[in-house]
Amino acid sequence: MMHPPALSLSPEKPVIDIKNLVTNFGSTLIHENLNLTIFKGEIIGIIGGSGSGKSVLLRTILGLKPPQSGSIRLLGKDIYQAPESAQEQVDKSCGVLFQNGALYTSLTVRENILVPLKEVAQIYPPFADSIVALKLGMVGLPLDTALKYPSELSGGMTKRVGLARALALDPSILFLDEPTSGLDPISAEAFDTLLKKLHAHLGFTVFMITHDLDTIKSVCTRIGVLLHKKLFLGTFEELKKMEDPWIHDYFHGNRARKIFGKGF
Amino acid sequence: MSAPFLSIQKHRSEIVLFPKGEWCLWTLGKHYQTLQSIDLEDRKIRKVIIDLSEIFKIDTGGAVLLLSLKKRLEDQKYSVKFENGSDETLQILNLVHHYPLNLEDTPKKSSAFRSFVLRLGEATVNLFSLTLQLTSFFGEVIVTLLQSLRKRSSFRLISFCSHLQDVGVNALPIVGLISFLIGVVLAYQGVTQLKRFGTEIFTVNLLALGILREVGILITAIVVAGRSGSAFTAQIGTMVLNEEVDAMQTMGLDPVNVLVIPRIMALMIALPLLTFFSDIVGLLGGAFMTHTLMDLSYVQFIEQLKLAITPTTFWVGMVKSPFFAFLIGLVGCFEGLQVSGSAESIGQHTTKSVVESIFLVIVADAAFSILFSYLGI
Repeated sequence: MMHPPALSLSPEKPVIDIKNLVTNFGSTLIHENLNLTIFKGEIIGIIGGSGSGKSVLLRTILGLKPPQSGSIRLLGKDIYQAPESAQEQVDKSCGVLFQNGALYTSLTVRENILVPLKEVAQIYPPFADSIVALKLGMVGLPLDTALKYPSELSGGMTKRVGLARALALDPSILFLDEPTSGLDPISAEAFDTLLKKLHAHLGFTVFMITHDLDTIKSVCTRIGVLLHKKLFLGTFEELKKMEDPWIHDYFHGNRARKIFGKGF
Repeated sequence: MSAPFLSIQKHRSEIVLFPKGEWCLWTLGKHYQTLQSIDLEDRKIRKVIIDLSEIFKIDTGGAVLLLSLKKRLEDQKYSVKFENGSDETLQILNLVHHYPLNLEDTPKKSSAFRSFVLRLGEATVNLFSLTLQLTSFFGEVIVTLLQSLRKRSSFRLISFCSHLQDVGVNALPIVGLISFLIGVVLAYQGVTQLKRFGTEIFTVNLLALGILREVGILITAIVVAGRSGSAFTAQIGTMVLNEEVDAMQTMGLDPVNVLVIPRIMALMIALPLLTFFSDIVGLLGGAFMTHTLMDLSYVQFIEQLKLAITPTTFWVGMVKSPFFAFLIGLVGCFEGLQVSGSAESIGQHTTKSVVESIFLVIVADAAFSILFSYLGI
């Protein structure tokens, strides 16, 4: 069947459920017994030092890098164990914004957004064009962007087009890999506002890797810290009180103090 | 899963539309045509209510469809209102109705004649500018080459050696195989044709002249153009896309010196050697075939070979190879540096690089033939 899985999950049922995940590159262990449970409608921000395995975690969840052991369930289905049809269904309810946009360089913006609409949901113009117009509008791009090629776009526009493409099929889980990196502070703030607005209206779940302290403070409902091959998940207030040196430095460093205020 | 549909109830003073089922992107693709073509065909009643209470689920796709339906009905002078929507439904409709839903049309295609003239003009201008650019690149390469000959330290020895391995040593098997087969084919044709005159022994002369003067070098040049010229374009093109070439320039490194010279030099050393190899293996193939077809012993073959050729025959073929190598390397690197924008561009330029270098090699070969006939060689 063409249809995606039922999206109306009860609040208690986790959208992303990772149990005892172990991943490695050769003999280097990246994650050791990592656990993570995310519920519907949450916006999770993943932080961690360079090389702590944030991107690897994202790739593992997306089904791009099989783990050594452990289970990953998206929308209740184990993505590495479930039959292919179920895996496809899960894929269809995920939208991904890659770090550099990952737009198809030989297609125009319009065609880029049409790819999931046409190939996956079998929606064709003119209906599909209305959807493209809507999604471009939603991410705050003028409609004449539609005819441009990715090489003609600025970094910020590329990210927005990437987001529009990720949102094309109204995903129930949105994965964002450093959505605000490389953006000027104004664009980054606009991105935060946009994400909050869309989240409020469309109610998707967000899994986001970010280094942006503003985003973490203003957008995320919970924050996951990748540290010592494990993930520490908590609200902003909870993490702030943790005594691990890295977490302490993160939330009490100079930059953090400027953003989070003197009281920290 | 329930398919989306629209039921219509006509009352005395109003028409009520009930969208039912799942109005989601996943289900709408198939039903779009039917949903879009609904026609109320009522001349008296002007009031339409879209009752949202029976929608099972809706996403932005459903909202787009409902809003465009509303707009279409309003254009037909109906007054349209949404009613009884759940919070969720209204929220999505509210979000969507802020945005324009008409994508501007792609620019209209001009008439066939006009576009033909346009393309012809464009192609002509491109041809001239390409020639100009290639010539200026040629000059740049020559200047850099002379500089690196004068100042040895600027020559990239390691890069040169690794390219020599790639374009030379690694090409041996394929060049050898093709040359051997060509030798076999030529010998077969020679023997069958010359047999009619009882002069099949002259097959050896045919082979010797053909392979040493023309076939050996041409086959090798074409294989190398397809193998290494295209690789140069793809490698340099990817570096251009990745801004590696820009990075080089900002460090004060000259891309021509770093990327182009070692490749062209490696090719100019490798191609003569490969040609020599191809000549030998081609003759071997011929010897093998004449031996099979006409019981000519290998010793007899060599005796006849000695009668057929002079050292000049060999050198006439050999002397062309560095020039061909230069052309292949020049075009390969040039096209690589022309890459811009997209992954598609790498493909286009790689194709162009192979086509242009083979074309130039054959043009150069013709020029050499004319030159040799003037010189009486």
